[in-house]
Amino acid sequence: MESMQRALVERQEKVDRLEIDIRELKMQIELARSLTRDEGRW
Amino acid sequence: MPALTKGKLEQFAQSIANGLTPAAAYVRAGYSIKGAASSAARLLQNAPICARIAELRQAIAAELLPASIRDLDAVIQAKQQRRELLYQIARERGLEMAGECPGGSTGFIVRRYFGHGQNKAATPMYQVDVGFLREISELEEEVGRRLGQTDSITGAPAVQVNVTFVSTTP
Repeated sequence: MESMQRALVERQEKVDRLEIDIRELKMQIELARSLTRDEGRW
Repeated sequence: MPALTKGKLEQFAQSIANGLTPAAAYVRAGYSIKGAASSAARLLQNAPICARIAELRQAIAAELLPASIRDLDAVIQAKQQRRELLYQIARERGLEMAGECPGGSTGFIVRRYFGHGQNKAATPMYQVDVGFLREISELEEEVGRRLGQTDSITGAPAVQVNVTFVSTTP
């Protein structure tokens, strides 16, 4: 029971880390898109 | 711990363990609806009943845990695929921009790293350096103050400062 609960917590933490990675990657892509769109402005 | 000897109390405990409200569990166990909430609250102060509910909850959790773990494994797999795809897109865009960074010669665009671990090492990004813009603005204000050329109404500097930018991009 305890080992299963631990496994559940570990997986939930992994999901959280993946969500952070995905959010940061989306920000990166959005930033790259906006900079490319503004080319010539600077 | 075995089931409670009184059938109604066992039914009440099982309903509570399965998530019913105390009043609903009380009625479902076959007791009168009249005064159900207060009577159920009294039952929940009974130590053997509480122990039985805790035991039932633990058993339910033990049954549900493997399914929850399997569900999370599927979520992890899906998110990993999504991350890989996004990582690939970001890396391709980053490489494109490394070749020709728009505005690189002004120094307003700086190289930053996002993410952590493998992503951080491999994916450089370029970002507008807001701190640098603020420094320039402050410098301009300071020069304006020293020359006594500050706009008396808005406080904004009335002097133009020419600044040569050094590229911070590769």
